[in-house]
Amino acid sequence: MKRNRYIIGITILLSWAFLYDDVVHWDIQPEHFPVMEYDFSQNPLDSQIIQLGRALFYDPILSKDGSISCASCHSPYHAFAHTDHALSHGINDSIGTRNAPALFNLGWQTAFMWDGAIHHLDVQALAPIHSPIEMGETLTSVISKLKASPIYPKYFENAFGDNKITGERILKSLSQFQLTLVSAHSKYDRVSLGMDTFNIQESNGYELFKTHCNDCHTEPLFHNNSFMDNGLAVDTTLNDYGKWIMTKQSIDSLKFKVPSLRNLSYTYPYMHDGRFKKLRQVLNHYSSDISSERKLQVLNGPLQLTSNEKTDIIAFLLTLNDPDFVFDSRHHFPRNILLPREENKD
Amino acid sequence: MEKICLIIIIIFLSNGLHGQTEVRFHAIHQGESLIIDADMDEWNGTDTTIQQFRCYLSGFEFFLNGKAVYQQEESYHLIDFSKDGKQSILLNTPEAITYDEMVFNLGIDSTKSDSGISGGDLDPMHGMYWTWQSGYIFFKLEGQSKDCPSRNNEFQFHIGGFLYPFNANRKIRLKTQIKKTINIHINLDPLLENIDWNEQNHIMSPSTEAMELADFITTIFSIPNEKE
Repeated sequence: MKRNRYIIGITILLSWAFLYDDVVHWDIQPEHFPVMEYDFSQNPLDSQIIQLGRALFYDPILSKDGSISCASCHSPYHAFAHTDHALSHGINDSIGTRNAPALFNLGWQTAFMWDGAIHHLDVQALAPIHSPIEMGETLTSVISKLKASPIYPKYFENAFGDNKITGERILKSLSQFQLTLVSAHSKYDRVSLGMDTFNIQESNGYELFKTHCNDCHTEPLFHNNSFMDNGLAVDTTLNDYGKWIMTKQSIDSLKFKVPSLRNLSYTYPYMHDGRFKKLRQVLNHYSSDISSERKLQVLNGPLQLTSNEKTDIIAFLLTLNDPDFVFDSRHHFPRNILLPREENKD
Repeated sequence: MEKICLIIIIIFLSNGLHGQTEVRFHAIHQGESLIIDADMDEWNGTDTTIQQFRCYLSGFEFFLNGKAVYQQEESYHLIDFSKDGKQSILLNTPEAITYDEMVFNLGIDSTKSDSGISGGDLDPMHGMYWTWQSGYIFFKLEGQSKDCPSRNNEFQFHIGGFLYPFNANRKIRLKTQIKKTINIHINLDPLLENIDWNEQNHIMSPSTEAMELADFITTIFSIPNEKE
């Protein structure tokens, strides 16, 4: 009798362990990256929830007039940035004040938006949904539309066990999809893992990068989760003072988030207002006399780089492009969910 | 077998030992209890109307002689004076509890705020989460005042946020007798009288002004003396 109970107990424990394993075990942590910052205990990854988040990400139902989806400004083919658009777009042909940032490796980010106004990935989507110059919607109205939709109640049920549609569920699903956007298969990554080698130019560029750039654009994520004044002159048509807008502390004036340098070929133009189209313009900026008026925290005077050295740095930066990530169809438009009829015809 | 019975009895008894304390909130406007109802005559012969009043109250505790004797777990409550059933909360207090003070927060502590989003009363769908920057709105009061020079005489006070340097979370301590139902008054009259309408009718982000208002709001909570 006692032995039977013992066996039953062990069986229950084991099956529970397997179930648990199924929920948390997702291969999105590359071995050469630090551990993700995102707290998965509050939102354990689940394939059904990821699919729901993916559908929401691509569905213009999130915008007031059904014209704009997250993917409108965060296109999968451009590493989830808005290539060739300096400033973000929104409903009614609105133009925003900042460049739509690329979305990848978000699980390692501790603050979101160019000024760090959002502290957690789960609440980030509220900002574009509610912004009158982005999606112009409200979460409450999105919930009503999703409830009335022919597809979503079923997908919420698949994901959460019942078809209740809440703000928490919408936002956490969007987070889950975005957390799977991991870019870790560039040439740089293959070199890091000993599977490839840099050519001489890339190798020179890498050494120069480590000397001049790595303090802020720190390997292997190529950002350091901080906010810096990089000496850009204020664009007087925008008058954007960055982090100061939020904290009203003079120390935060003109500080913007240090962006990752991965996937730069897909994510131009550069800087918080998309003012530079070419990487060389960025390097020219850092080599110019930018610290004359404002004391910069990181750069002690302009970078001393020859033209060839700039070319080498750019050659290295291009090894951070990750076409495997950009063309990974698992992150693309979910036709089977959003256009099920068309799928049937195939 | 005897052991299992004993455990069941103990569990049953320990549950049985829980009493419940109800905490009811009453917003006072123009000296009277406020109910926000779409059908009512908003002005009703007065100078101000309230069209929306909601707040987050959290971390409910009872103290005796300065020491905590009861703490509610996961204690986050949205109090809304325009929704039925959202003006009172239940605390599972032990039957024999004695206390002389009730303590709670106006707002959501920074640990909870920092941990992303939650459901229930904390779901951002209730419109009590800022969308363009992070943080819950702790205290949302909207209405009109005849003295307010803004468009349609409207005022909006959205007080909240937890990020440095503007954390609006405030502790409120109220002396109380032991009761089955504790009534708490939130007196909007001194708050509205204190406002210089020409200077202040629109606070919608964390700021120094919002911090000052949060300080003032802690003084409008009271437990009136009642005969049991």
